[in-house]
Amino acid sequence: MLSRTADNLFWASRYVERADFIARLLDAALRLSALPTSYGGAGTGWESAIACSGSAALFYERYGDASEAAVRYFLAFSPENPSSIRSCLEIARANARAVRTALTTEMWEAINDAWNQLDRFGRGEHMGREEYGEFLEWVKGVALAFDGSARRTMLRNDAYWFLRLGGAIERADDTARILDVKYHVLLPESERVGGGLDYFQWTTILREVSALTAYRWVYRDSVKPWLVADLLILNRQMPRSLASCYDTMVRNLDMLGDAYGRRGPSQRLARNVLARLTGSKIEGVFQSGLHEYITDFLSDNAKLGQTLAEQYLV
Amino acid sequence: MTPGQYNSAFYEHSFLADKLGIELVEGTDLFVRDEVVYMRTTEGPQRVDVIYRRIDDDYLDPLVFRPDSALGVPGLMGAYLAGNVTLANAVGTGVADDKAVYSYMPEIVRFFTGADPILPNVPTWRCREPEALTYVLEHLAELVVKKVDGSGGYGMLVGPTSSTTEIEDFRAKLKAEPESYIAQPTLALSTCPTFVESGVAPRHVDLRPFVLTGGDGMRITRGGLTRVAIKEGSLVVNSSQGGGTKDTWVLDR
Repeated sequence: MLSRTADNLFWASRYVERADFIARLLDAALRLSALPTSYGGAGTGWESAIACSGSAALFYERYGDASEAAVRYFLAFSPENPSSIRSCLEIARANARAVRTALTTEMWEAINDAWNQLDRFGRGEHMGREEYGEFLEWVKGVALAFDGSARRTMLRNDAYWFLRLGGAIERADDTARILDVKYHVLLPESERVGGGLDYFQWTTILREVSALTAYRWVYRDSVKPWLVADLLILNRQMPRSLASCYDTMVRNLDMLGDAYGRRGPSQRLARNVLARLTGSKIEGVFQSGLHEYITDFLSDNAKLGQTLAEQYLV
Repeated sequence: MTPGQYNSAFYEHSFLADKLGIELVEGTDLFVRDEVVYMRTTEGPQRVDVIYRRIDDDYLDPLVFRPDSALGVPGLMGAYLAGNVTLANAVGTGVADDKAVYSYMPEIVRFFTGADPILPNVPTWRCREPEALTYVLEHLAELVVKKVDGSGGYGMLVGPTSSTTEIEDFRAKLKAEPESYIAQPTLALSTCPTFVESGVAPRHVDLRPFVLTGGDGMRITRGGLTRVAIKEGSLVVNSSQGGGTKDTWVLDR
């Protein structure tokens, strides 16, 4: 397969995944903003969404503070923000179009329809919260349709594996970024038993990655910070956890290696990261420093992106 | 080999590659090492033997033709001259597309077959001939004037649908470089009901048949490409200027 084709597939799915993540961040902020301000809800939800989106620097260059209107526009519709939902869908579609024939009709229609329909939401200025919420649901639906079409219609060959790799590496990055921004509220020292503020912060984190229900099923316990960290970092059953993303990466990289008859630095690196994740206990992670652990992970994940590009995509 | 997704014919390139089961490459997907062409793939460099190229000569190799071309492959002509890659079509075959060559078709047919052509030519004036030029300059408002090496409907004048200023501008160009132009009477292209923004309306169409030639003689493909000019009254059906296509039906007699 042409390296450029693999590159386009990888980035198409990466950007669809990012659009989905930004929609989830905004959804969590929207829910928080509905809480009374005494819970520390209203203002901080939007700030947190900007911080977790990874585009804080760009945002504060343009806006003085994280007002609801500014964040809602910047993260969803701004063409100046390369990670806004609009930009993500645009880039994903451009990548998909360049490799139109490597995609199934269903996948192409999912992303092309999304791009065509995006205009009907305009710049989102006149949307009430409810309407904005519906828009976010629509974005998540686009990601589901794209991902679902890939799973249901694509041949299981290298094209499919590159697509899965793009999604998994982005997802790992997204989850780690949330943890990186919010690690301080997860630290045991900061726990105030029954403190309303922390409780809402923890549940927000879980909501941002659609894990609130999963948490209850797995731990059958009230929301505790170290368990939240355990779920999002180490639990291999949780589809957005770092360990689960690396399960997916290792599996798909191995299939590539087998099909091409050669494994290389990407396979080794991914396997090492997975081994570190599966070898960790959450107590140990806290002892050696949650922040350091996440920072190391983010740098490994970025390095894997680079290694993978050098090995296959250029 | 395509100029990329911003080319007006990109869909056609990608459709063809898909149906033929061959890779659709851009210039940056290829490189030349020791006069051999390779393709960048996920499994490393892969040798390329034949390139069906949809890029103009001028852009094919920045080392030989336009140095500012970002679409081509540096060293491609070197590989071609060393006999290590076949280009279809070969560089220079565009001469057959020269519109002045068309004017010699009746003679060409007589030379090769000894018979008169069955289909008459559209009368064509070669502006490099002084009498032809005089006639064309006198009748600019009735004629279609085309650049001999033009394509895509660019650099041409459709006399009957042009303003006086457009005609006078073109007259100056024609006088400056008469050898670059031919002229033909304006043909009355058929129209076909076409769905446009205001509803269904007549638009001009032409038919492009495809004739294949090979070891076993000539074959005319069934059907053809019907091109339609989307602008009202326009005779320019070229896709690069917004022209569209229509299904072509061939009915049994």
